Amino acid sequence: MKNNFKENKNNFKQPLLKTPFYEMFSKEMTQGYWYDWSGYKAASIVQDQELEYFAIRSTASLFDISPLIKYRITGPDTEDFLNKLTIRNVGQQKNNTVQYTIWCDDEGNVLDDGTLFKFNNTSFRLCCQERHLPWFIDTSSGFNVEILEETNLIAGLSIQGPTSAAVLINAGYQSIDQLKPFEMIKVTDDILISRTGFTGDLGYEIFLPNKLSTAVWNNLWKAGEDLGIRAIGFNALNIARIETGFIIANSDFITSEHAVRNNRAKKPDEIGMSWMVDMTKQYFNGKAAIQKARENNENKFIFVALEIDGKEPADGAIIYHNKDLEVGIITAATWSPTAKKSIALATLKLPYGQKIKSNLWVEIYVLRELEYFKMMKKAFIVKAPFVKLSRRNLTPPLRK
Amino acid sequence: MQEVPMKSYDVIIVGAGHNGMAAAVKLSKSGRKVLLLESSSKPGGMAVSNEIFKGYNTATLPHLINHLSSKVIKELDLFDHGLEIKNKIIPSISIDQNHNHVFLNGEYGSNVEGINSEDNHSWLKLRKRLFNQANLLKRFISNTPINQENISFLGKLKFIKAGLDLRLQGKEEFQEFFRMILMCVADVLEEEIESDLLSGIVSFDSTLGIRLGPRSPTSLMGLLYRFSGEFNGQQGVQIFPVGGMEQLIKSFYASVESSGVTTLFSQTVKNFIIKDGKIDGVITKEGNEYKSRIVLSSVSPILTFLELIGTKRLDTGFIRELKSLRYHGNVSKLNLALDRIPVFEGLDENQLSSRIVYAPSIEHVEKNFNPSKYQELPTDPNFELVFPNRFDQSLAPNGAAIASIIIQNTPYNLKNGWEKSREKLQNDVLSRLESFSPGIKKSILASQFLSPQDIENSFNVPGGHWHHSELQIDRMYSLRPVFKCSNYKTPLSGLYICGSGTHPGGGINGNSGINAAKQIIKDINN
Repeated sequence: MKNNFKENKNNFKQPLLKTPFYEMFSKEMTQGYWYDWSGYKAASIVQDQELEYFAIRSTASLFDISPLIKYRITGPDTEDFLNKLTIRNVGQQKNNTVQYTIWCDDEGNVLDDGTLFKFNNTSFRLCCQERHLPWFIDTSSGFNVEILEETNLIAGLSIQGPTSAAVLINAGYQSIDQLKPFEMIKVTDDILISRTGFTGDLGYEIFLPNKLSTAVWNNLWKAGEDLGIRAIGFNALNIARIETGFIIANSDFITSEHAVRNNRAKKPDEIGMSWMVDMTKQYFNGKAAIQKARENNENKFIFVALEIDGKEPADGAIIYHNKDLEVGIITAATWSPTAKKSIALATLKLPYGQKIKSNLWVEIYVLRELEYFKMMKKAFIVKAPFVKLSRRNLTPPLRK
Repeated sequence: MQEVPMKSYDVIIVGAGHNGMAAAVKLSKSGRKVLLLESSSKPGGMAVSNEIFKGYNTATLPHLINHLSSKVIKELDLFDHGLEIKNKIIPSISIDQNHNHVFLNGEYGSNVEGINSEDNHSWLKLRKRLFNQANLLKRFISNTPINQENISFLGKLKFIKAGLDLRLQGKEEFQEFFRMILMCVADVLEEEIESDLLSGIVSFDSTLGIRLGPRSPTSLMGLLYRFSGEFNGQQGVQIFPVGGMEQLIKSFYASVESSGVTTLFSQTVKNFIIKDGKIDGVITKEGNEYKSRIVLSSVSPILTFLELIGTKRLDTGFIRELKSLRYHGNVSKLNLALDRIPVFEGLDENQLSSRIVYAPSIEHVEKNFNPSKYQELPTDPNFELVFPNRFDQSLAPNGAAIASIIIQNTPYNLKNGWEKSREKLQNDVLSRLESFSPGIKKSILASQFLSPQDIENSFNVPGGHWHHSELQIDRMYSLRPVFKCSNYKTPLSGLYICGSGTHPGGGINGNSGINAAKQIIKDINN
């Protein structure tokens, strides 16, 4: 412990950490667009944002997910512990599957979202955006479980796109052929592949020990040579995830540990995750608060998907009712190259978005050669995803 | 046909201490069917009495009353149920090795002997001011604290009115209140008082039962809390009931019985039954199940939440708050059976009918406190001593005496462990006693000693704290035991709490039981 402290004392002066795939991405990188993801150097754009987006939608893309915070949770009470921690029913989750989940504080406000990998009822992996070890340890009081943060032990690579299955099979991982969405399989003793991703497309995530990163990368790169494989950065992924309607913590909602101001922390019902709350569970952290908010109509916000007239992206724009009353904000927006529309994810103050759904306007400012153009564009509430692809769920998957 | 025991009730109360009993009476009188469960074989909780030697009966722990309010007496009709108070005010003596004792007579020293006239003047002025400040706090004792669920216009008005009343006493009193409220008692005393013995006893009384020394910030609050106690309109007094503390508990229990409450002894609640997120009854270690949609737990909050509900069923933020409670006790008790009436130099036999405090100076009390910070015992412990049979002769044989001694600054966790330290602590106290009353050691027939760990084991109070958890300013009123349940309601629907761990706190008081019962009645009616 002492040594660790010494080592980390000057960590703010040190450069960002490098993931096990850093060298590979660095080799592809032409522009130098790096950003800080949980203390790791991660690519925003590797070569060209649009080509990278179309790799997701037309061929195969490789995205480094090693900076994901990963916890390994084991022990006889693991399932009970996770049922207390998270709002979904872990008992109903089948072995070797992945479930998207959320956990809340006492007030029912969302602490984070993440993916829960179930090996069996005494062994899970939880992947998320932020670090939560103190919360997990305090939540585990009374449960016989062991929680290990394995972020820096396990590397991750996301391969997404119509040819992603073909690349994996080419690379020798034939057993992924049988995977349905949200299922996972160990293709070797060390390598775990799940049919998951953040794109709404056919895609897989690969988890492996750091030491295998070079071998796996080379294997995939070679297998994908003729299948249009491309290393991508977050910007391209971000477009794909907005098209699918996926949310990102501290971008589309503020996690309760980060929220400073009143009203900023949000309940699952306020970020579009009502479907996830399992009220039939005997108990979970925050259940009473969520129930009370529902019974007393205390929820103040609603999360919606918007289609907006015109083609200018509406990032961060204010939403008006009848062009004059502020009723919400856009948290993520893009021009969707696949839907060919300006799309957005937004938070509206109730009753707008629920009882009052029409006459919504978005105020967009566009800077063109040092002059602002201000426009009021009409917005329509639609059902996400904006882009729905049948290949996402097809089993066995597309081979080409 | 054999009668089937009834197993379903409107309210189940866990623990027949005085607060549990007070709540039981109040609820039963409101027409509820009440079941009172007690783990031991008799009522009283931590206020029970026992026979330490044949013919010597004494209170196991607290030996005087200083917080029993007339409201509680009235709610339970205690005077009609056997409570009798004769020699109403018990004086205090700050004893001196050179026999120049200081005597605090009347309502906490309305008349002090043994100090010079200047001190006398300053003391009366200071005492008046402190009584006045305590009166402001007293208004809130019989009210449910304001918290996130309990914010009413009337509640706020009470605060505004208290502030206004204070202001109307003039600018000086107003400013002095805010200047003094967070001060340490030592600074306040040093501003006014010269007498070490007077300052010593006041310092001791400010910090008795909590983990503060006279120089710790906020230690004055302990004194104000003490002064907020009253009996029969007399403030800051100690009283002793006819028949001893046992008779007080008997009167509580007589009130319970006459109000139609069902009481079962030797029933230790093991856990609560929870159905659909709401409480639905209790299960006892003896294997019985009792159903009720409302349960009021008067045992310590740590026991109620962390053991009876268990951390698996509690929200994580709430567990964090509970685990931050300081619930480890600091006070031990020594009861002695003496074969004769002891002789104290400088005191006549009548003056033994007093509360005798060994706390010769502020410095002495502070030095007593210091080792407790490091899990060590003081070398010359401060203590409070009474001879209960001097107040009521029936408690011990003629010509004999019981000595009941409260020893401060004896932490729950000791570096050397209690097994190795208990003998030494008793010897240190007895040696000091011997120096005041030569021969007293030889007159001991039997003794009973309870460290905080013994108290934990004997009374099922985790940490063995006399107030269940520290009664300091950060854990008073809305913050007692924690903000979320200071209105006696808990995160578990249908479960309520009362007892020393809740507002207003320790001492034989009964207000928390009454307040919690009122809250339950209010909730049922809604």
